[in-house]
Amino acid sequence: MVELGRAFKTLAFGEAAYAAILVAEEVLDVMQRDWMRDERVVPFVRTINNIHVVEESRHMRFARDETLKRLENASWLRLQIQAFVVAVASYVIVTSMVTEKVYARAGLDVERAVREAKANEHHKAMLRSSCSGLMEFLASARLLTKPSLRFYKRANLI
Amino acid sequence: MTHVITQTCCGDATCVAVCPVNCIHPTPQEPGFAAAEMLYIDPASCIDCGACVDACPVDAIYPLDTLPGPQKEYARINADHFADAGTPAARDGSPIFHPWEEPAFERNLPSDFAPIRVAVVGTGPAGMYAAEDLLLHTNAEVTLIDRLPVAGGLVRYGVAPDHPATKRIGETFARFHTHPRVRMLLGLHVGQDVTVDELAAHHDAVVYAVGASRDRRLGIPGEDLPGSTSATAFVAWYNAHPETAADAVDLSTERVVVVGNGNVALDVARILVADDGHLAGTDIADHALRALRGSDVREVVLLGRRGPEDAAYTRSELLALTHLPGVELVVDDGDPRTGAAIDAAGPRDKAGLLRDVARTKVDWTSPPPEGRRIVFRFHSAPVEVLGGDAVRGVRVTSGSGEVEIPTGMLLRAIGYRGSPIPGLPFEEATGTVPHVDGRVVGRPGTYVVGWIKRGPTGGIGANRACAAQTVGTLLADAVQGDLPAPTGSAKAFRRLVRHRNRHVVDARGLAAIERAELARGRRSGRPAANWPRSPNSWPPPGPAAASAPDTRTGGPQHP
Repeated sequence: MVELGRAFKTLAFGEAAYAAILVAEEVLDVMQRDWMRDERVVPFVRTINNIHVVEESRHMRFARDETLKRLENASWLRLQIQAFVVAVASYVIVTSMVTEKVYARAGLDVERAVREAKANEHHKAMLRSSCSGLMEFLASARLLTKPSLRFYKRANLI
Repeated sequence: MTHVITQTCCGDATCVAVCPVNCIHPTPQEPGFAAAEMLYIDPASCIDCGACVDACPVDAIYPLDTLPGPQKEYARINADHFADAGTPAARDGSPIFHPWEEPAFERNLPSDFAPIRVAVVGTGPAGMYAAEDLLLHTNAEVTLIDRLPVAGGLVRYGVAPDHPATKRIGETFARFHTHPRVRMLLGLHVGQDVTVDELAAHHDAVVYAVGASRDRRLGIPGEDLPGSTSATAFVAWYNAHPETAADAVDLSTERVVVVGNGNVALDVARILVADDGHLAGTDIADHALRALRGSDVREVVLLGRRGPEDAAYTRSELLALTHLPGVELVVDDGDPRTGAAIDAAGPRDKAGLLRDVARTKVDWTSPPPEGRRIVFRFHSAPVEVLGGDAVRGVRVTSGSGEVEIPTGMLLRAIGYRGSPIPGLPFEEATGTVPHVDGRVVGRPGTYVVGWIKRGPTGGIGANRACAAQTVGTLLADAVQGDLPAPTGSAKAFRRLVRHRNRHVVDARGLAAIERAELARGRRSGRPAANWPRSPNSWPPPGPAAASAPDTRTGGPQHP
């Protein structure tokens, strides 16, 4: 994972960097909004989540602005490349949010647990509905190209 | 500093979900939400992050220091909303900084929820909110159907052309036109091309979002004279609705009387006296722009049955009217109750909105004065439309006896009415389909949403909550196993549609139409020039049509 991050840092440039960060922030933002409001979560974690939600709101606005600005006059080819990079980044981010170790630690058969989790329609629905704002933005930035849509479909974002 | 919500607020509360400090109210969980005309930002807690600006589908939110001129008063309107209640604070000892409700997880899909196939009939706001909900919350395949060859419903054919920000919500909906799990069938008339039963037989569920296309009638003599028509027809005319003729409206009269004072009445009044230079910069129909350029109309009279305290317009639409350049706003002071109500009104009462509006006793026997003006006349209902072969006046009630107002055109703007759908139950009294939480009574697997469900009230954003309820019911039924299994496949349905109607437009066809519209608008220096389209008249005349690909074959859309 860390190595993938390093690779991305080297490869991504301009709008792709902003847009990919945006994907990570949006996904975290949605989860943290629920956690900070939920009384079942440890108070300390709720405070941290709250801080992050407030701080990230400005960062996300900035990333959206930058992405749009940089893509404004982008050529077809550049748009295709950037859309593809963002889609791959999104796929990696969203699919690596849960480590398989949690299943093992909970005493579950990891293989089966992963299979069940992957097929869980409720989980897919939560991902899709929570990330609707993000997908709306990517659509408005013309980043939902045909090849990139395949990744978003696989990641259950659309 | 703070951000401010302005006139165009659609109230669909998309912004509430993205605010990091919960400063936008009322939220959908709060009691005042259903009745709220718009949402407000609390200046005391807003941190100016701008998240809501990006989320707003109708561009209604501005930072305080960039408020455009006429919208400046919304700074006060937003602040006033919180003046009484005060800024809510987080509980003492709470680990978070702002007061938040517990998160609610309303949808709880079983982990093995099987994909369902749902048809949504109608592509206006109600249908699109329902489709959006289904696509985001389930793995459903959605068939989007519209009677007309272009999508959008009232967003396209009902919103006034000088409200481009409101029309922008169409872009939010349009994202789902090309969604991988959506198939669009435009120009397909359910009830004519395919029956309700055929549609149901090929889908797990059908959601009707057909709106309320008829208008309510006055029920007075002379109502059907030439020159007396519905505001609905007038709105359709200036928005280039394919079922309205270009020459349907004659503007060779100096005065127009509009019955009603809701937002539709305000829309038609505004368009009738608007500066045609301003309208030329909108996507108004070419024929309407031409007619309005040669129009003789100088005065529009809005009749309200009750007083200014019961006026049907929203505050934001009335405020916008007071900023119309070159148009005078007048309250007819003939009835003393009108002035008394305005003077007695508190600053936030409805009647108080007219406090700074000029009041005169209008002399109805003489023609309207020079210049353009809109006259509000309260406590006055029409009794009879006068004229032999065309409207020449209208007799109306007043505080003392009846008065005759000479006019060549009468528009009734007293509300819409739903039409029955052949094959579905219908309640004539309310003009709606009887339902329980969106499920049509006596027809499992059939649902309603929007105006055909709850009657013609509430703006665009109100459909979001309405759709959430209907889709919630639908999904609960699906989980329960209460949806009748379809007997025909998706493929069989496509075959049936092709067999019945050769002119169905798909998503690609719609995109081609929109491209051609934009190109046509660009040539005449306008954002987009709508033309009246019908399956028979499309493609339209002009070079744009020649370059547009043939989109009427309804071929396969998805690989």
